Order: sequence, then structure tokens, then C-alpha cells
Amino acid sequence: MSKFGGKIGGKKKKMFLTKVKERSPGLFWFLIAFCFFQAVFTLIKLEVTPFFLFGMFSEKVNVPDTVTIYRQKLNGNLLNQKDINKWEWNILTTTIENYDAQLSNNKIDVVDKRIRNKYPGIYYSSIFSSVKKNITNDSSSVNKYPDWYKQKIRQYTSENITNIEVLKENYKVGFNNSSFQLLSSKKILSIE
Amino acid sequence: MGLITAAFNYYLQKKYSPLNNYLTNTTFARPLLQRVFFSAVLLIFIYYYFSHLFISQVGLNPILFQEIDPAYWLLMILKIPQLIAGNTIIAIFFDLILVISAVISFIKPSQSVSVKIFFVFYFLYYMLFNLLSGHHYVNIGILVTAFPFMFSRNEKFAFLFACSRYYFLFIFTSAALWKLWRGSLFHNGQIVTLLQQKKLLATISGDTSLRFQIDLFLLIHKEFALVAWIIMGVLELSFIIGFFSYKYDKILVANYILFLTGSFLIVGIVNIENLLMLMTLFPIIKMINKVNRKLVLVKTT
Repeated sequence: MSKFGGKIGGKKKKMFLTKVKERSPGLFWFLIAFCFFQAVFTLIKLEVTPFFLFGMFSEKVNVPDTVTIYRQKLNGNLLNQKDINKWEWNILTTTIENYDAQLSNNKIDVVDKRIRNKYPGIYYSSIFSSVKKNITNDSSSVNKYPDWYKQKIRQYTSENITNIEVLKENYKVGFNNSSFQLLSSKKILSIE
Repeated sequence: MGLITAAFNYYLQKKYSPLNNYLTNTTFARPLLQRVFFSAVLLIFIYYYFSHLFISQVGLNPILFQEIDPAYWLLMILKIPQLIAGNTIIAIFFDLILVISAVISFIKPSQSVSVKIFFVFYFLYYMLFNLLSGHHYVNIGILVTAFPFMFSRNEKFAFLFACSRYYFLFIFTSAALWKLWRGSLFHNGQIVTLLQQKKLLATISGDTSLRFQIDLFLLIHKEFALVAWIIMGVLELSFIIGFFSYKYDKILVANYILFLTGSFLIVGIVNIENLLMLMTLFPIIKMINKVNRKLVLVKTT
């Protein structure tokens, strides 16, 4: 035990990577490769798990004068955030948002357009063309979504929900953010 | 033998540099560290169960959220989501393996086979969950902290645990640098946009909680919102100091708790998985090692 402690320790102060290189060269080169790929993907702003980009709300945005939300009505009653678990709420709202985005894009996956605009080199490559069908959601995915959504609503509320309506509402923000005025309301999902 | 180990451990702590101390403490505390880590994971799993977050509970969302991330594309090409989430029995087996491997890793901390199984399945779980839930959440605390436990050689484990610490520091430093680079640290656009949406939802649902009152105050007094935003950014940036010294880890623990409180009150985000990365900071390791030493002493006497 003492031998090991002496080896890993030592009085002389050394930098972490120097110590790793001396004691475990394989690990050292693994770390260098990891840092290299992390730097490359950061530079081209491409997230390839496990090389994450930790932006954390860093994009510079201007305060909008309108706000869009999705209101979910179950058997005619409004589903509120406090009615269900935080994660359940997140899953319902984010998947609804994705459903709406694809629905508004003629049921074509919005990611398709994003890849074409951001990485045309990848998009027009032969490899991408051959796998594109497998990595994008199609119209059948959009058609199947309401069933899955209904199943989640029943699971989260533990109630026999027969009627579901999801409305996309756009509000104008009033002075000092203290009031909101409804501008438009559109039914994007209706399940009987 | 246990007494000698404990005495030697104490001697090393007094004699060597903070980095050496960190590595030594990590090495000696390993079995207890593994137990603490997996007990926390199991508690998180209980939370997952009641929040319906296991793959068998989420089910196969027909609209998979792959975004521009080739790793998710690969899963879709291999039809992994359909194979696991699309079949209830396979999904239940998948979740069971995840839980059982965590239980074994907790019960038997001297081996790493179950940890390897856990890591592979949790990595798959993480990606599948993001595909099915409609958003790429960066709840990577379990992955980052579990990685070193896959290695049975003590020396490699200690180095990798230090790497997990550096990665934890990188997450926050990187977030602050992105804000500085994009010029959003001194711009209230992000925070006001988030608060607007929260206020609208709260107004509709008749929410009068303390959190709502804080949001309301910040929305009306935008200068305070900006100050809160800058403080959060400064807290993120403070993690850079950890790259140069282990001496200030105590401050980083406090800063992380402050950041988490702010994140909960203002943005409404708390990633319980990411709390586990606190384990990689020196004061927590020292604390665990102290308990470990006491346990060794109790066993020998």
C-alpha cells in the first residue's frame, strides 16, 4: 500500500497531465484525443455525443414582443404545470412543440432543412443520402404521434381522458411585461 | 493493517501537494466512493420510476428527436429505439439490467464488471431518453462520475476521477466563455425571454407561489434580472480556478450550490443527476475518505 502511495504521490509538484503521462501513457493519449475532438467539434459548433457543447442559454437573443405557448385541454379542463410532475410536463410540451414544427413543415422533418442549411457538405454527400431516410421522421411518425400523446396523458393523469385538445396560442407582451394580450389561437391537435 | 493504512493516509495528506492529496484520498476512499455514488444513483432511479422516466415508461415516441448529432443518427440507423422502446418486454428487461447493475455495483464495490454493464446501459438510456422525450437534456452527471469506476486499477481510477473533476469544471467554464464570446453575459435577452414564458404560464394556471413572485419581480425590474443573470455567469466562470488549483474546491462547492439555487428560482432547471459531479470536488472526497478511515478504524478495533 505504501509503495503505491509513494508512487502516485511524491514530494515534487507536477502538473496533472505530466503525472498521467509518466504513470499511464495509454490514458494520457486517450485524454489528448478526447480534448482534440472536443476542440474540433467546438470549433465547427457540432455536437456529437459525448462531445457536448455547453452553451447553456448563451445565444444572444432580443426580448420578443410576443410569446407562444401550448395549452392542453383534457375533457375541456386546462392542464396546468402544477397538476403533473415537472418531467411529465416537459415531455408533453417539448414533444408537442416538435409535432407542431413537423406538422407546419408539411409533415417533413425540420431537421432535414437544418442539416441542409448548416452543413451542406454533409447533406449532399452520398453517405448521408443513403441513410437520410433512416434518420429523419416522416409523415407516418406525425400520424402516429396523437396515439402516443394520448397514452402519456392517461399515464400522467391516471384519469380516463376521452377528449384532448392542444391549442397553440400567441400573446402580445404588454408594457413592463405585466400583461399579455391574446393575438391568435390555433387548434393543432384534437383527440376524441 | 487497517490502522497502518489509516495512519499512512493521514501522513500523506499532511505531506504532499493538493493534487497528490486528491489522488491519494480518491484511491483510499474508492470502495466507499462507489457505494455513495451508486446509492445516490439508486435514489435517482426511484425518482425516475415515480416520474415515469424509465424507457419502458416513456415508450416509443413516433417523432424521435435526433437533432444534428451523428451519435443519435447512428442509434436510429441501427433501429435501437424501435428495438428497445418499441417492445415493452425488451424495454422492461433493459430497465431491469440498468437497475440491477447499479444494485450490484453498490453491494460489491470491489469489482468493476457490473459498473461496466451499468455504464453501457446508462449511456444507451441517456441517448434513448433524449430521443424519446423530445429534447437533448445534458443530464450527464451520472455518466461523468460513473466513468472512472469502470477501471479496477486504483491508479487509473484516481487519475480518471480527477479527469471527471476537470470535466465538471469544463462544463461551467465553457458555459461562461460561450456567454462572453457571444456577448450575452451582459445582455438580458435570454433571462427576460425565459421569464416571460414562465409568467404567462403561471398567470394562466393561477400560480401564486414564491417562485412566481420572484419571476414577477425580475420581469418588472429588468435591471435586477440582468444582475441575477450576470451573477450566474460569474459563478460559472469561477470554476476556471479549479484548473489551476485544488485549494479552492470548497468555494466551488458553495458556488455550485448557489448556482443551482439561482437556476431553480430563475430558470426552473435543476438536474439532480448533475449534483453527483460534486463528488469529484476535493472537500467531498476528503469527507468520504474521513468516513472511510473511521470505518477502517472501527473494523480493526
